[in-house]
Amino acid sequence: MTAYLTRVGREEVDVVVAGDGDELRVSVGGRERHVRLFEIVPGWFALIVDGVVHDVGVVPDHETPSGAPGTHRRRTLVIDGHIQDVEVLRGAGGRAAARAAAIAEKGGAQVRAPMPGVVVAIRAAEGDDVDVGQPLIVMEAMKMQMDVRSPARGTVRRVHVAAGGEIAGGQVLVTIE
Amino acid sequence: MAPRRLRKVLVANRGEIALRIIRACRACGIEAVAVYSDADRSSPHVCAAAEARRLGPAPAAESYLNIPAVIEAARAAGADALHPGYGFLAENPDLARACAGAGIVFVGPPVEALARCGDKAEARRAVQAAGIPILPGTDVVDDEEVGAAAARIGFPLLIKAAGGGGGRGIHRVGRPEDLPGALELARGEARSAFGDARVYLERWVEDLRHIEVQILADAHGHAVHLGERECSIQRRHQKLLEEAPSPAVGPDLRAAMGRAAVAAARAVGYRNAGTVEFLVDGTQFYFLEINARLQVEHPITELVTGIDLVHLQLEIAAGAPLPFRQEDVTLRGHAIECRISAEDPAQLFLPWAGRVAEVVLPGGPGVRVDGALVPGLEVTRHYDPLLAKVIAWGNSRPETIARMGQALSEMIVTGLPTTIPFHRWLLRHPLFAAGRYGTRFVDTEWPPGTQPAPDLAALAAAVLAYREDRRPAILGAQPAGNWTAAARRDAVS
Repeated sequence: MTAYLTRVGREEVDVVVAGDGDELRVSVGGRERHVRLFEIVPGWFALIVDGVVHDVGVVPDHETPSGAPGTHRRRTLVIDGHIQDVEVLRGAGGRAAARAAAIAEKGGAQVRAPMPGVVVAIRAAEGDDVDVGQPLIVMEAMKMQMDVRSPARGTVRRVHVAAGGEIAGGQVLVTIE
Repeated sequence: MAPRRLRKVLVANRGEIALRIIRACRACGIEAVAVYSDADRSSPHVCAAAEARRLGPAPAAESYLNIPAVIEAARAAGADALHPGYGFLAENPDLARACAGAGIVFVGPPVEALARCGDKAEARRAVQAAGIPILPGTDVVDDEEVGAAAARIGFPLLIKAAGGGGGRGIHRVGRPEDLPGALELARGEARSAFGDARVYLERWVEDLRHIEVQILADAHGHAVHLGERECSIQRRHQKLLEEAPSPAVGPDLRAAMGRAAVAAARAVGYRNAGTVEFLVDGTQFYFLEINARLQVEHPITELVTGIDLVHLQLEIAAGAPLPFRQEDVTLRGHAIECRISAEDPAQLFLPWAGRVAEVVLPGGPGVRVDGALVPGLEVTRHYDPLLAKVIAWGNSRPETIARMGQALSEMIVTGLPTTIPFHRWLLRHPLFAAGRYGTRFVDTEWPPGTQPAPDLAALAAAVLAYREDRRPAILGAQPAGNWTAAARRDAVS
């Protein structure tokens, strides 16, 4: 399972992807989808979301020769004929990079649920000093567990949820200062 | 002129139009000879011909624009005719003259008609004398009289190169104080692009329709028109999509424009296939210029008339009379052409040089692809970035738009950006669907302001990233045959 923070235009969308091979479970904007991805020819895909077929092409770009895993990726995709510029920030590191700027600006960070689910365990208490990437919450969604990690170094000011509680996608879980 | 039989035709062009002409030759039992530059050695048009001759290095000036090399290739091949296609030397009277000198039939208009059509100011004069309406404008102007002439026409106006054509050498001037600077620029560009610094002025009218009429004239005094093509979807005076018939032209206007086009052709002594361009404002139309060649967009006329224009070009060049009269020409259904180019529609349609990776061409009823597009094709900066023309026909305009939309959704070109997303957007646009558009359409409507379906885009990007992150490194960058790659994939899955 991997969480991605994506940016489409000015909108930020959290996406969590899980699964093996062609069959994937994806949570996007809080909704769970069944997704299949088939490569028709290199660089061109059939993307089937809950049975609906979309065509997706990857447009070559001089700026990003090939997105090495784990790095910040900028992509121009053609989806159903629409040109879409999308940025992908992978997992906790990517989220940290994205949120660090917000912390620097506002002097704090709110850690949000990347998708709807259930809180399994709380790994940090109020007043704890935490580092970038340190697990704060363990949550379960789509029958899998995942860590929600700290996007920044700081002090946990408040934990907004309790173990066993149901959470919505985008809900604030922890506030860090 | 007694008809003779053409035996062997040198096709003095490249890319899709060379292939189109080679196909027409083969269909009527004429041998076709291809020519190529060093950059085009392995191009589809070379393999399609029975014989191929090298012209020279990649730059067009040393190959496809090199008249002595072209004539020498025709001589060496023993060709008795030469088809110039469009662009390059197609409208160059010197090539037609050189053909005559070498005893080779030029598949196109006579030298004098080429010269008259090539001098845009003279063509204006000739058709005006024949009673055809033209936009307010001037003959060739010199620097002293230009101020007074411009004031007479009014601003904004266009400075056009007398020796220009194909939408190049046109400068728009909005205000009188910009005139001297624009004039200097226009003259400089006209001199370098066309070897002719003469310019003339023409009134600029905002958002008209650009509509052209196909004509055919034989050597026996017969001339007909084959209806119009709507060409208003343009950017930088370059066409992106054409359709026939025009959604803005009814039977009366069609007949009037057709008569004017035939009269214009007669006024310049035209022969063979040609196109008369008009600007249309409601039911008013104004002569723009005569394109003395086969047009890029000729297939849409072929689909609505059932006439093979290239075949008829060869027949007319051989001296045969037109096999039909005006009343025999009927239009059936609707046709649209999309010019698929290696240009980035998101970046102001900047042309791309690079290698085409994969190609999947569309099919189905009413779908025709004229292209020379293959996987691995190298698109170089030396030539036009046109990759293929997708042409769709249907019984009605809505059916044709639907067929084209489906065709473009099936078409895959990877490795470089293409105009396909632009064309798919255009076909979905409500104003296009309503047929309500003019020459300013692309400038005002493209690009669309918002990105549709951000959630779907986010999902697609994340899923692709996930796929990349999980792919075993060994399968990543290794080049391998498809069979080997498939075997490796099977082994690890």
